[in-house]
Amino acid sequence: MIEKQTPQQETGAMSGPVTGAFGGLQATGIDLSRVRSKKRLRRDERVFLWISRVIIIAFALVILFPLVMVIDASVTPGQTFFVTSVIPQTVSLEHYQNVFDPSKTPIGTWLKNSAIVCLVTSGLSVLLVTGMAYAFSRFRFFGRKYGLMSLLLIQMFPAQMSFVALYYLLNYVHLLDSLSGLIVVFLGGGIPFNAWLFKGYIDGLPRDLEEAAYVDGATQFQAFWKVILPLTRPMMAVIFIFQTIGIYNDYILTNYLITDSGKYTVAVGLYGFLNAQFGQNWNDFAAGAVIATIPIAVLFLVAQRWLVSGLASGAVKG
Amino acid sequence: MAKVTLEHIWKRYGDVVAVHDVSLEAKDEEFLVLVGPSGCGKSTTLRMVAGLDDISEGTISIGERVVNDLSPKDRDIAMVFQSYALYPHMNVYDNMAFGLKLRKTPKQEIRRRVTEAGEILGITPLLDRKPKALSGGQRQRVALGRAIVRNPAVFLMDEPLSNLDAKLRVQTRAEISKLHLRLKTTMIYVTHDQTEAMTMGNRIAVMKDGFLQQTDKPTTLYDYPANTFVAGFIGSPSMNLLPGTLQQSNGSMNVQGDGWTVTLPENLSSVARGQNAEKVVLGIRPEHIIPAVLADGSAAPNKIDTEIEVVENMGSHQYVYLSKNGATLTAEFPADFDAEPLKHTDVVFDPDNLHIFDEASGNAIGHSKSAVA
Repeated sequence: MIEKQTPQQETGAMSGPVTGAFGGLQATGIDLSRVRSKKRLRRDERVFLWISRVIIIAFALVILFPLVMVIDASVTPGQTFFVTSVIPQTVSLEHYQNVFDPSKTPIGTWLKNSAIVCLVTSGLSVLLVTGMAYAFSRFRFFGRKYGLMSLLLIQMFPAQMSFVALYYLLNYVHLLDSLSGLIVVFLGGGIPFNAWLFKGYIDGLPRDLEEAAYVDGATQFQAFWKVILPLTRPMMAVIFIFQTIGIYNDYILTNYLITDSGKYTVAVGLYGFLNAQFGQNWNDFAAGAVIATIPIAVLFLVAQRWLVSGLASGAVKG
Repeated sequence: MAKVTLEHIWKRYGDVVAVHDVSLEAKDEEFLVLVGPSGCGKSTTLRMVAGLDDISEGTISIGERVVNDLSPKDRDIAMVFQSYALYPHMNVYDNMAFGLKLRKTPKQEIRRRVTEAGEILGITPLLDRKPKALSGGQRQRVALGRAIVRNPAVFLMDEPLSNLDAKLRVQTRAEISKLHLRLKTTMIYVTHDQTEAMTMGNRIAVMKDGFLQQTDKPTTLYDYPANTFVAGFIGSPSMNLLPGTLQQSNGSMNVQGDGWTVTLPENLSSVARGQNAEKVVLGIRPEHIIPAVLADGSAAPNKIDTEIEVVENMGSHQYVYLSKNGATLTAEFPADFDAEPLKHTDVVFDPDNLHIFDEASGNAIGHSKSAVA
């Protein structure tokens, strides 16, 4: 194949200067068609490819279906849950107006509460977990092994088991029905898993880097702060985002610990639509749900660039 | 500028002893190479000098200062790692400036030193790049640059060339030597490659299994190895080490092996005299095994008939693997010598370049080049 190609390329190159731009184009055309025909699939490969495509498309439809339903419901006028067609015949923004009407829906307060709980918890969580993971990864101290084991063990019990205890505990320290209480609970809940995740990541960073920093004149803290920490940014982003999404979406625990409607988060507040006094208001709920998705989507887009892996590549020869 | 002194250094990991009672001095402005096979404790020794590993016992001084309890940052050293250990999130300039920034050097001074180091190493165009956008050789230079901007009392290098390809390694080897001539900073260089050690070091310390074997100038190590390990480790191809027995024969001493006898020259005989029937190892370097036809008459009685097994022609010379009663000898013959596999050829050992070692301990009994053990 390569042998065949060579004379044609030569022809192209030779005719190029003579016939001008047209000759050059022709030469390109030949090359492209060759590239395309180079990978001709066998029959069984083609069959396999099509089966994969059908499966992927089917799953994509299944995943997209609820999304489309909710968007449809949010723009359908009136109080109809059942949407007759994928593309709604009449588009109305009345439900969005309802959601944004402060006299009907305090969605601003909910979003603010959610933002406070999510950002404070995730921020503190990253801070605590980073220090903890670095210590577990790099230092040898009494209790290290059992500390790691117990973190793993705690991880295995479902969160629901602790509800009663948490309620009692928060009541005892007078943090029940407060955002601070919620933050404390979420913070504690996220640490074990995230610490494991982070420790594994730091384990993977070459020790040579810190040693080079020590020799360069860094203290242990400087080596951690200026060399290790910047390299863990992708992991910090992962923890921050997952933590935020998890808390933002949490309904059960929040609903259980918060009773004051002024302290509702988005998830708890939206559910109120479905329990409205005059029947279930699906369409307002749908509009609220669509709006509630936006902050998370924005967060994802912003933080996406920190999620790039392989930041540590180039440190040591691979 | 400072000398580095190690006095009776030990390193223990639990019951395992990694470094046994090593005493060593790198003189001011000297290029000292620590060489040995992997696991011999050379890197551990270097890391103890750097302060990255604790010293179990003994004293290390840099200059006149005992540094045992100083952290690496207070030892006034710079280190080049085998992996280079460049900070991946910083560009080349910041990598080199990092140590200076930590020491609160003024900005202009940092700029001046980094620029100068960049020029010395030819990496000025790369200063804005991140390490991952550099080739192995370029990373290696940045690692060197990071060390030289600091202008430390001592350079420590832990196998800095191991990750380079063969051609680049030879090139960088010469560059590091030039750098040393230029900077005149004391260097301690760890390598497992005896060629690097021979070509770069002012002095070489050979280690094995945590023990220091011999410390000397490259030529001295080559000509007067203290034991069979040093003899076999230094030089490429390795010295031939043949077991034999000392025997008295009318005035001079012979070494008799399996199918061969070598008469020792007068100076070696006098050292070996009185050790009749002692089991020894005769050492002879490949270039000192000479085809009998090319040798002068004096060695003729010691002709050994061997069979040629393999011939490796290097162009300027050829390595010939000879077999004698199952033992293999490596010899270096002139390129024009007609060596063909399976042919027999008579060889003689150059009597002026023989080495004799005690078989049991491996220690040198004598070398015919000096006759002083």
